[in-house]
Amino acid sequence: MIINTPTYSISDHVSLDENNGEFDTSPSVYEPAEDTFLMLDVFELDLEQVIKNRLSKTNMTVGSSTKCGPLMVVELGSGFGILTAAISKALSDTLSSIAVGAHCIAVDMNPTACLKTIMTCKLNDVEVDAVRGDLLTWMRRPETTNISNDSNKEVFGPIDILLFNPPYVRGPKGELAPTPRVTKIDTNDEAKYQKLVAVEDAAWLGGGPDGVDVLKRALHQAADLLSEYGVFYALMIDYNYDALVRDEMQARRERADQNIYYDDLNNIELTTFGSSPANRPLVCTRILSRNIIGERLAVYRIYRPIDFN
Amino acid sequence: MKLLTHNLLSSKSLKGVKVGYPLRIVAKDVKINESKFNKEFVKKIIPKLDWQVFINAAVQIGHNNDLSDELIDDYENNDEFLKKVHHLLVEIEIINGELICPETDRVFPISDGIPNLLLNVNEVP
Repeated sequence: MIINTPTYSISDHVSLDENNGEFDTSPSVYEPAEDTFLMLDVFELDLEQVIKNRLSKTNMTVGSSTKCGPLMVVELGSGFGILTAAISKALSDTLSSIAVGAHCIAVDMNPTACLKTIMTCKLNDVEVDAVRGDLLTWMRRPETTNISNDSNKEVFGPIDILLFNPPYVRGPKGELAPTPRVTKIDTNDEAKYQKLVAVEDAAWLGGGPDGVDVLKRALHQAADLLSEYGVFYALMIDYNYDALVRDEMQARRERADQNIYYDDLNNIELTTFGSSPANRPLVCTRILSRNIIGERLAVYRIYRPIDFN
Repeated sequence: MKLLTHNLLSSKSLKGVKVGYPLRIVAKDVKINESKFNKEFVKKIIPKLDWQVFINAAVQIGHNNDLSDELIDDYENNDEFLKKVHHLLVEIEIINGELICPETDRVFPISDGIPNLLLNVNEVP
């Protein structure tokens, strides 16, 4: 077992020792559910070999140790912070023989989710910095900073492992994603559903007509902010992925790219994200999928292929 | 928020901002959390930092203990130096205060240790 499920509390109160008080957190943070656990299963399957085969290529520690260097881990829309806690705990525990540790940053628009994330990490005895922000808009750009060892290399971003369980549900009217999340609701209960949909802060179903708008924004940012061998784990529902594939094929057709039919459907090249998409395409590979109460969910690893020259 | 995180923050997404880095810190409430010195971690995180930004941030919160804004040679074998860096990078936590955009002076508050870098709709290009 590489990834242990973190401890978490769904109590409506968050207590932080420096505040002597409690924060009422109900009912605005998305609780860990099947999609969360699918992500954990993917880490179990994929993380160890990603660290060994990819991330240790730039992070290898010189000298006696052969461990992978510090990993920069960022989770978007962290909610309860389960994914961050799980990875951070694994890196300091079951994976500590192959990596020297991680710095974890958890991002959420919802201040209560930021507090929940901090609480979950405390419960699991791991460190996290929470940032209240919109995806990666708060992060420094590689071209604007002075990093000592990047002088004559192609410039990559700082993120080694990026995690996102995005708002993947289609908005009934193609709603855009506004502000914080509400708790999971029963879509069969029509009256309650309509009432909650009216609440403007239902960010979890604010993914636009294909449910994929927020993920696409994240992909644009990730393409510029991932490290050279960095990986982005993202969860999608079947129609999210279909929309990504459709958009990709359309972009290729528009620029008269002949290469339309050669991709394996579980392993597609994405050539439209980031500031220089043509030079540095991303590959999106399905790691694991599962049927969950009428939804077909899958987790993909998005990364740059390793150049073996 | 730790200084290691501050090293990554920018206000570039604000309308009209060209670089937006680094953000100036005004710390009102700072806490020290002792944590285990992980030498390998510190050694390998240093090349990933914007060193001058890190040192300036330490000065701004009043915690710089004699580290120079030029990174010393052979730091990899200097335990005393690495321990100081460890302390500044991951043991100091800014609980309450402000981050300030270098170009527009827009203030981003830090409360409960969480910086709020959300922008209003009219601040985005």
